[in-house]
Parts: sequence; structure tokens; C-alpha cells
Amino acid sequence: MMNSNNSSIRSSREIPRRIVLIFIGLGFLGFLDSLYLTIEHYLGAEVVCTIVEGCNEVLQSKYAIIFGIPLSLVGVGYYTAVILLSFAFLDTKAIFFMRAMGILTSFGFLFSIVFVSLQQFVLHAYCIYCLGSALISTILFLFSAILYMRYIRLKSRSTNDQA
Amino acid sequence: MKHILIWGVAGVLLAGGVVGLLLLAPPSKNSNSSAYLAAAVSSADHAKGNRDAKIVLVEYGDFQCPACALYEPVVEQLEEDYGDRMTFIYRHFPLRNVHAQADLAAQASEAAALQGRFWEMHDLLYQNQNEWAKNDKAEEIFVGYAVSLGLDKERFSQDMNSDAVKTKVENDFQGGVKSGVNGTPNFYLNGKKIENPGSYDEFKQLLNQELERNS
Repeated sequence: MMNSNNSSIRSSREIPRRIVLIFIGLGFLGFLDSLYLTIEHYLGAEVVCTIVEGCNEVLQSKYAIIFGIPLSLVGVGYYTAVILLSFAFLDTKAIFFMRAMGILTSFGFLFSIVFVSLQQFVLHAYCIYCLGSALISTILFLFSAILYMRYIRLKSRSTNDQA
Repeated sequence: MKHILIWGVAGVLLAGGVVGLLLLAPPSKNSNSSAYLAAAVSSADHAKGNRDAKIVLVEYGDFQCPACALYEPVVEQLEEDYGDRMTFIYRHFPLRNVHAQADLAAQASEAAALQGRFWEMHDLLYQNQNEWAKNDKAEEIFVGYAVSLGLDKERFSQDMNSDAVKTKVENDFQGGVKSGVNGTPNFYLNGKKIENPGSYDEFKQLLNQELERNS
């Protein structure tokens, strides 16, 4: 699994640790957000709605559960993966984990677009926790994109150097 | 050593999050299920049925909310089945942030109320929600409903935008906020907030329990 050849190690040094810490921080926020909804789902409680109204409309809609699994639980899995990948990278410095992060957060971003659109165009109701999660996913994706572009730039520079 | 430290932090973070939330989550459930109607039922409320009935059902609704429109026939069936044994009160809780016409629709119903036709307008608004909900010309449509109900058109248009009517809607809304309304529809059975029943039969069961308790 661990990709630790020389070129990976070299490029992994170019990933600032603070960006990984941002991944962990955002991942933890998202983790708490979706975990709260999951707990409330299984306790059968109504969620405390603030700022925007209609979160119970959203959370009790048919889109809130896919194949019998509440979406919030999928969110918990997603953010747990973000956190574990970040720690795995801090531990091993293997670039593989950041590549996986790029793919994961791209999917997270795409799904967020779908979920926000559902709230806006189909349900006409919003849930602050879902919007929060979409925002976190978007920022995670942006940081992944920044890392990716940085990686491409460094890679092309090192190929130029070699040439 | 470094490995242990890194994964130790990861473990503490995740486990801490789970434990922390589990400790915090139950109170939010309790505070919700024990919400009480803060604004007492008064003669200013729109009521249907017997004012002295043992069951008082208060709904906080938004005419533009799809879920409220779904509950409308359910409530109507309850009114029919319980007749004199129940009072049904409707209060406004327009979700302004998400429903552009919710306020105006509430005002339209209040303007109709000034000519004694609140419930007729209430029914029309819910039945035809799709027609006006996303329509910039909702106001014209409301005037059309007023005309179809035989109301004085000029007076209705004036009342719909009058301060008195706006204040009435706002008072309902503020009463709802105080009572812990956090979405629509929210129902209060004899002053106590209930979870929205999933079906007509569940609703009926709640009302029957309440009747038994008070008999």
C-alpha cells in the first residue's frame, strides 16, 4: 500500500503540514456535524434548527436515506476517512494518501452539489447542518485542488530540471 | 514513538467526538419533546370546532410549505371525525428565508378573515399551493381567490398589505418562536408539542389518548 520510493518522498515534502492540519480540522468539524445528525436520527429526535428553517423537512425527506442508510452516517464515514488519510500521511509521508484524499474530496464535492441542489430545487427547504457539511466538503476540495496544482507544478519543474 | 503519538491523537479526536456528542445529544431531544405552547389560545386565534372541547390542537403552518399542504387533508379529516370534541387552531409561521410568498399568503388569509372567510382562503391557499408558490404574480392570484369567494376586492387588496394584518402575522410568528417552533408544520396538542405523526391513524391515536386522559 505504502508508496515510499524516492520521488514520492521528495514530492511529499512539498505538501505543507499546515494544509494537512487544515484537512484534520475541517474533517473533524464535518465529523461532528454528521455524527450529530446520525445520533439524532437513531434517537428519533427532532434536530435543533437554527438560522435557516426547515431542517426537519429535509432530514425526514426520502432523500435523507439511501438503501436504508441515513446519509448522515455516510457523512460520518466520509469525514472519518478524511481524518484517517491525513493522519496516515502525517505518519508515513507517503504521497499515496494525499492522492486518495484528492479523489475522495472530489466525490465529496460532487455529492455536495447534488445535495444542495436537492434542497434548493426539490425540497425547497434547507438544513443548516447539511449546508455546513456542503461548505466543509467544498473547502476540503479546494485545498485538495491547491495541493494537486502545486504537485503538478513541482513535477513539471523537476522534469525540466532533469532535462 | 512518533507513530504512537500521531495515531493516539487521531484516536482521541474521533473517540472524543463520539463520546462528547453522545453526552450532549440526549438533552436536545428532551428539550424538544417537552416544548410547550408559550402563546395561550385566545379569541384572536382562528378556531374551528368547539371552543370548549377537551382537545385543543394548534398548528403552526406556512401556506407555502409542502409538508403543511400534505397535512392539510389529514387535519381536515380529524376535524370531521372529532367534530365537537375538538378545537383546531391555525397560526402563521411563515418561513421567510425559504418561502418568498409565505408572508403574503398569510396576509391574504388574514385579509379574508376580516371579511369572515379565513378558513375558505386557508383551504384555497393550500389546495392551489403549486399555482402561486413560485409565481411572481402571487398577489394577483390571491386577489383572484378573494373574488371567487365573493369578497370585496378593493378592501381585500388594501387589507392584505395593511399594517394591522402584517402585525397579526408577526405576532403569530413571534408566539411560535417562543413556543419552540422549529419548522412547519408543528402541532401542539393541549399545549404540548407533539412529534409530527407519520399517518392519520397515528394522529388519531394521539388524540384518543388525550381524550381518555381528560375524561
